[in-house]
Amino acid sequence: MTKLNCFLVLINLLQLISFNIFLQNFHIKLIVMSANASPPIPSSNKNICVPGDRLCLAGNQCHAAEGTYIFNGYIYASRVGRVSTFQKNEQTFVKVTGLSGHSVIPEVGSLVTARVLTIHSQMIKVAILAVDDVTLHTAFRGMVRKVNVREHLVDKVEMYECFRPDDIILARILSLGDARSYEMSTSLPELGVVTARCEEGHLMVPVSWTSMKCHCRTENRKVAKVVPPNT
Amino acid sequence: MGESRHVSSMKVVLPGDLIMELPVKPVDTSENVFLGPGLRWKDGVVRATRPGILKKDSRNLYFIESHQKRYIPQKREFVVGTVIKNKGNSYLVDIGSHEPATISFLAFENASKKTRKDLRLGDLIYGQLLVANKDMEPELVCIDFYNRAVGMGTLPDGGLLFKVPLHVARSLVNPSNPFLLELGARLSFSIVVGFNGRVWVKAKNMADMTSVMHAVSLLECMSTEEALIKMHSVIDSVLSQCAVD
Repeated sequence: MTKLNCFLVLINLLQLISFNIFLQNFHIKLIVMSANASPPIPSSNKNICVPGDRLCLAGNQCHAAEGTYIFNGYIYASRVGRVSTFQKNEQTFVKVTGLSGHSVIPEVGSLVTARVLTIHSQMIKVAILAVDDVTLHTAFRGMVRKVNVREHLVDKVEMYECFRPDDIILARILSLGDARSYEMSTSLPELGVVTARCEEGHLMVPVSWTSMKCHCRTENRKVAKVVPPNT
Repeated sequence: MGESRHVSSMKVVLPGDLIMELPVKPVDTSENVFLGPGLRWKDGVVRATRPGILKKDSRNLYFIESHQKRYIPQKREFVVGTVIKNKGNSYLVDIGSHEPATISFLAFENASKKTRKDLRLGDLIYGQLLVANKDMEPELVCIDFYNRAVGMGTLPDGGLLFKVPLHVARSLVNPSNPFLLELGARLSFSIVVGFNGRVWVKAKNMADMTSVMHAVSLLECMSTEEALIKMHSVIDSVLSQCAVD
């Protein structure tokens, strides 16, 4: 009886493996066919994939590029988008591009532009508007703790003298933070407040590293040392 | 103590009224004009932003004295607040402002990380505002710079808390106002006045506390001189009412 069971199991395994190989070839043919197809129609829903879709076998025929990941020897899609292949150094790469243009996620160490939402005595909450030079569709949330505002005299920071609600700041991402917000820092000289309005609503210009002024008043901020690009 | 400032009343103004034209900063410092609460300088003119009486100080300080009940927190003012929430490291205290104020458990005399001050919900606190601006929640402390209590802290049980308009609270605290002294000659009580319009009284029985409350409320609708005269009849009627019950 057991010999029969083993034999049946073996047959099932063989069938599975052969079916898998058949599937992979089928997938690669799909991708290759689509890459050589006529110019893509924007409203077409061919080659749309969702996260988790298995694209092809990972190996020498196919390498993973952006929007994909490798698991158990196969390449899977990790985002919603269009599947496409491209050649680089005589190798085929598979990538998934987002449907609505650029989609950037802030990463640890990236420079972000944010707007100050609320200030508390221990931290400020900001809305991340752009990462490097890409504007985000939806703003992420971030926070800057009191100890990360500047480099010197870290304990004597008065949040009200460094930021006000609705200021635009440059900051660097320190870590992914918790489920609600990224953790950011403005401690370097080139980070801090870039644009701010005074209490009456007039645009202010920086006067020093700690203050900005408009024609009616002077206010304190942690000013960013914005270096003009060398062109 | 201090120079006596002569304050003169000028006229009744409404919000938007033009007070004076002030195009540019005067060269002579003796001509400096100081603008106090209720006045705003914009586009070269000074306008009133509150209804009230325009008053002028001997040092060229102009301000508007208005009646107001809503409290706007200012730094370094003494206020009476009610504890509404325990947030672990701090308490939320209602002082009548746009947001409840926070007070850390360390902000009391002789408080350390091991000996906490335990406050129950509903306790009354007399403290000083450390941080108060329109963008952040106010912060209250019950110690001064040298960690002394100087009369601040929790108020004892058994008193009576009532609300008065802000100008009444300010006039009560004024040292040259004889109202409280006259009241003290008639009844014996202890009183704590907060700049946020909350007054706490404690006396030996409820009748005395109620009569103090009614006497202080007189200041809301009449001047100090009239209140001093009317005060005695009000106290008599309250005490006789309480004796009947």
